[in-house]
Amino acid sequence: MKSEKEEAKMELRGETEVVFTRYFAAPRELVFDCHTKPDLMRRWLIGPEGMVLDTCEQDLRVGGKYLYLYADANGNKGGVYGTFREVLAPEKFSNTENYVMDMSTFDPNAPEDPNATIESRTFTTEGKQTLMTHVYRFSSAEVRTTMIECGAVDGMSECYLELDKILSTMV
Amino acid sequence: MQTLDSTFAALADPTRREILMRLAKGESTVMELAKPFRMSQPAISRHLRVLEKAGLISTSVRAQERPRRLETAPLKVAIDWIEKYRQMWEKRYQALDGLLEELQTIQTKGDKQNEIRKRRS
Repeated sequence: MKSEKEEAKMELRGETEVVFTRYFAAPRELVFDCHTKPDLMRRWLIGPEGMVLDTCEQDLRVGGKYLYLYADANGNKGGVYGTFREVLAPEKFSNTENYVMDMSTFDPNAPEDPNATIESRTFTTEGKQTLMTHVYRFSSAEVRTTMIECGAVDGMSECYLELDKILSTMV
Repeated sequence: MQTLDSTFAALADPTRREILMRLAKGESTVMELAKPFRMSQPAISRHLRVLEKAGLISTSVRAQERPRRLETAPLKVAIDWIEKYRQMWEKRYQALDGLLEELQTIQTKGDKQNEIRKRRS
């Protein structure tokens, strides 16, 4: 039976942050590894609606880059990329998060948006459990609202499908 | 999505969330709402105006009192969006729960084998 603690909680903090908390029944070293080692990440980082983690490049050090691309059965891709800003194994890591909207124009080496979202994860030991605190800090309250409206930061493609539908009824 | 914008802006403030929590228990006058916050009436009125603009509360006129009432419809839109996002992560975390369990089983097995090896040598 699942204890009540093992359920992701999400709240809005201040004007620009979204905070997730979740308990895991494992030591934090292991939880940290699952968040940072590509072969482990592939096992659980399911994408939005039928998408799988297709590309998972990681250079886990301050200033190092990452690129995660999700793909669906039709080969449609989308995902996130950014730079690690803080790496403190197995306690904490934080990174910028940028969104790949369109693969045809995506350039991983282009300069990053200075207003990129900052994402940080902190792992603390609580008895036999690990508490993970996952914070998204958006550049403004407006950006946060837009991201929440889209239903998911990683679920941008879903959001655009909805937008397509709405647009098609307007034309 | 004008409503959602103002809903989130309204919800971003802890005092306003507290006001909504209190109104969830029933109608209250401005005086009653101001009491727990040690806040001046104009300050509370400013918060109430934000909530009213977001459609989260309504004012009914009853004699001299103007009790505020919680309106849940715009709140529901916001909560539905948040919940959808949370569910996506929860789905992932459940997959992670399974992986963590598997990794720990492998680790325990490995530890036991090492112990047996140690004892034999």
